[in-house]
Amino acid sequence: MAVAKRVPGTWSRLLAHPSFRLGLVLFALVALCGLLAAWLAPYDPLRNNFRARLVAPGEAHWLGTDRFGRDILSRTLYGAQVSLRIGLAVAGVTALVGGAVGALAGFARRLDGPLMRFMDALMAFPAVLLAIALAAALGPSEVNAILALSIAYVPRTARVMRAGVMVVREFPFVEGAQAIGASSTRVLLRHVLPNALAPLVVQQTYVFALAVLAEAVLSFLGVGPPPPTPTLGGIISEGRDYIQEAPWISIVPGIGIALTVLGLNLMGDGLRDALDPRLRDAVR
Amino acid sequence: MTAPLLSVRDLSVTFGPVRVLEGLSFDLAQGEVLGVVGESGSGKSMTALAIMGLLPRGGRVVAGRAVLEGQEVTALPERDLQRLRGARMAMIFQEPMTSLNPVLTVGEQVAEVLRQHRGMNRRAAHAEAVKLLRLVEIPAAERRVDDYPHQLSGGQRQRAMIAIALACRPRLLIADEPTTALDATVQAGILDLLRGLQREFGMAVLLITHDLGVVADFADRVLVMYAGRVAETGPAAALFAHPQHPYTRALLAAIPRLTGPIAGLPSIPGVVPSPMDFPAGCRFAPRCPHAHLECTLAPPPLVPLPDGVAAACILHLERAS
Amino acid sequence: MSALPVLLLVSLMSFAIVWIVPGDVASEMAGPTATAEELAQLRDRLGLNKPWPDQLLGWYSALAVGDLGQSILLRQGVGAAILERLPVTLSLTFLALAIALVLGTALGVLAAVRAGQGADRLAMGAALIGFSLPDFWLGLVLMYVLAVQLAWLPTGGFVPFSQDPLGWLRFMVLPAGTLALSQMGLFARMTRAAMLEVLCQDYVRTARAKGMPGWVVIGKHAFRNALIPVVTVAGIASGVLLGGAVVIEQVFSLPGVGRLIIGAIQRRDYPVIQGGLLLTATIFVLVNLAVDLLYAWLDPRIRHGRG
Repeated sequence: MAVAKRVPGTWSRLLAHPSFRLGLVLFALVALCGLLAAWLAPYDPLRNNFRARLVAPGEAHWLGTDRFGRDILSRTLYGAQVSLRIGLAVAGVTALVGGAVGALAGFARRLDGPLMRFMDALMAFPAVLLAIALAAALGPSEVNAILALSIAYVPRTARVMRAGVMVVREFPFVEGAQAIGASSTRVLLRHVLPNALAPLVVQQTYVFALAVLAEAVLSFLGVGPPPPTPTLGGIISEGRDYIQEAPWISIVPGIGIALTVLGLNLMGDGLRDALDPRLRDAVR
Repeated sequence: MTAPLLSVRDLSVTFGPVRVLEGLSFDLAQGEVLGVVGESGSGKSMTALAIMGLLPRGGRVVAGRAVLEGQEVTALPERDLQRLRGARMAMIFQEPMTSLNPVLTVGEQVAEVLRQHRGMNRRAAHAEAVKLLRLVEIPAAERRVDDYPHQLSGGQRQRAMIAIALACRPRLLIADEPTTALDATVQAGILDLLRGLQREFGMAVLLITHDLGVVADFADRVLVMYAGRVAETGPAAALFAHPQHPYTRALLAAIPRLTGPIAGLPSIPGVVPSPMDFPAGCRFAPRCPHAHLECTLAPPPLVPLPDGVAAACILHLERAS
Repeated sequence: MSALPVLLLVSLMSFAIVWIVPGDVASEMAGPTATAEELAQLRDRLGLNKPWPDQLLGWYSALAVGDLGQSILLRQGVGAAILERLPVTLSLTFLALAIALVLGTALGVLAAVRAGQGADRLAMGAALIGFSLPDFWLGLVLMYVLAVQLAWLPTGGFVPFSQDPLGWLRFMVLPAGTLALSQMGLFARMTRAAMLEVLCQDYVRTARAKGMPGWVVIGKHAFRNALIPVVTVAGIASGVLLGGAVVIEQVFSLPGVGRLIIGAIQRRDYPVIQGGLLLTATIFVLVNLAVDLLYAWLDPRIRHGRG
């Protein structure tokens, strides 16, 4: 109920927020490129053309070609699609799993200790390293990359959700709902969750950004989606050996990653400011 | 009569579009204690901060001046003000709990003033800090000097604040509600200490408080402020014996007395208006039992009355003319 | 975080990584050319033919005496292999942490003091870009510009500090600087927020009322208080840096634990992966314990047992 009332105000505040607007534009640009890769890409990203190997950016190939003569712009567009798909999936999976774990830990006091110890242990591994190890053990594939990244980033989401639930749990209307005899599940679903969602939304925007960055690392190290799928990290890795003759191979996809992540982070900042006035005062 | 130590003339302070202080004038002689009283929002603290050059962000002196020992402090650049603050003029604040830095020892916070203004080295400053803590009657000062603020009681912290303020023997001490945050028994001790030190050093004190009891106890002269303006000023004895401004009378009536029957705590009806919507004319008019139409037209000037008292009230203007 | 149960879970998870490998671990490790005999030998060495409780028991009883197992490919104990390379990784991580802390807090203080002005926007924009860039990519680009094009720095490699401190710095400055960038941005944001809060505190006004010069008020009175929340984050940042070091070592050909682990991953050397995971997580837990101590040192209110 409180959420429903807040929505119009939130949207206008969001759109008035300069960094959210900039982030939205950046992200929308990248997302459109990824979504429309099939239409936008001037070449088949997988087709070799040995007559056009290591061509510098120019009229035929705007952003150059790699050692097999594949068009870097086309590969980057398709790679962005893969990055966004994985990032979105990781943000979604961690939101569901982490949200559930955090809500349980925050609401059921008996489960709090064991669940959060487990999350602490996961968090003790550097997230990138854990994702690399898991992805390697599971075997390189897009689904496994999503799985590995989700496991690595789920504790953060769980923590944020738990904190949100614990704050909301103390609000008078929740106590009131319990006092009139609403069951715990009902209170959790109807009252606590909607109000704890704001910090979750902010957090997941950042998780999306982190996942895009980490996916690039997985692909760079060869434990992400396997070739021939073009991935941004993979293209950077392929360009490494040609950094002297053909620096554009590595440089271009990196800019794609940076724009995606920058857009998401800017949106996250805007969301944080718009959804949580308390955080705005504390953090800005 | 010699020149006053501090002379404030037509001082006006704004915060953005809001004028929180308007046309304030008063003098403070060497060694004199001036009590500044008024409810919260009357501009007492802004007066003090304007003199110290410590107005919060957005605050600005837009008219008038404050002159300390011949130097116009409201016009000095920050660098010159730094040389005066803590040395020639010092200030103590209301909240001893938060006014000391939690991560520095009490001794360090006293000693750094000495190093800054008196050029002492670390060792001499530390020794002098112990002496100062002893001066403000903190027991076991030589051990307390290395304690952190949270290890001291509220009263001891305020004593430490006084030690910091007096470290360089300033000619002017501004005390902004120095006892308000303390227990009644502790209050009396701090006031006794301030009074003793004031006499010993012969410094002038600008004592800001909403507590008329404290003023009656300590001040030579009184300045009553209301909504950013002076309502009444004069020698403490005369002003308390014959308050001339309706606001002063109301304030005095609102003091709970220990003698006589207890008839509930009287208070002044209404609240101080916010600077956003100060009324035109006399700002006390909306709460004044004697107000009439004329009061709402123009602000009344300060009218000199017998016994050195002056009051800004239309009642006296009529009588004088 | 209570360290002991977390360490127990961490060691369990490190071991369990072999259980999620689909199919037969031994045949994957040995490759398609391995004979049945070689496979059986490998299974025996890894203890894979035992039931899982026995495997776990073996892992923990070996851990109890500090044995992390044998690397399959290096013909070396995992513990020894890691310890040999640990100084490189630790020095890279701590150099990066130092760079990130110093530059990040400086940037944050500058932004807070100039809040709302151009310098603030510039600093915060830089911070945001700092943690939005993929560090391994930035490393490559910087290497291309500074080492390949300008030849100011070596493209990669390593000299131990004890042999040639200046050479060590020449090899380390680019990787550490690259690694530091993202955390520098976070530190800058944290510091700015903390400073803005601290600058409104009464004790800052007291310091000004004492006539302390601006740099003393900001650098001593405000900064020391603002540092307290920043240091808490430094513990978490050290973990992120340790993870980032794995990739950066790969980019700059630094012979550290990260390259060992990546090599082990590429060659399916599971004991090294398990040991590497366990060790990095343990370092992280220990660093956070150290941070708690540092925290108490910075905040006398905690040192003396009062919140």
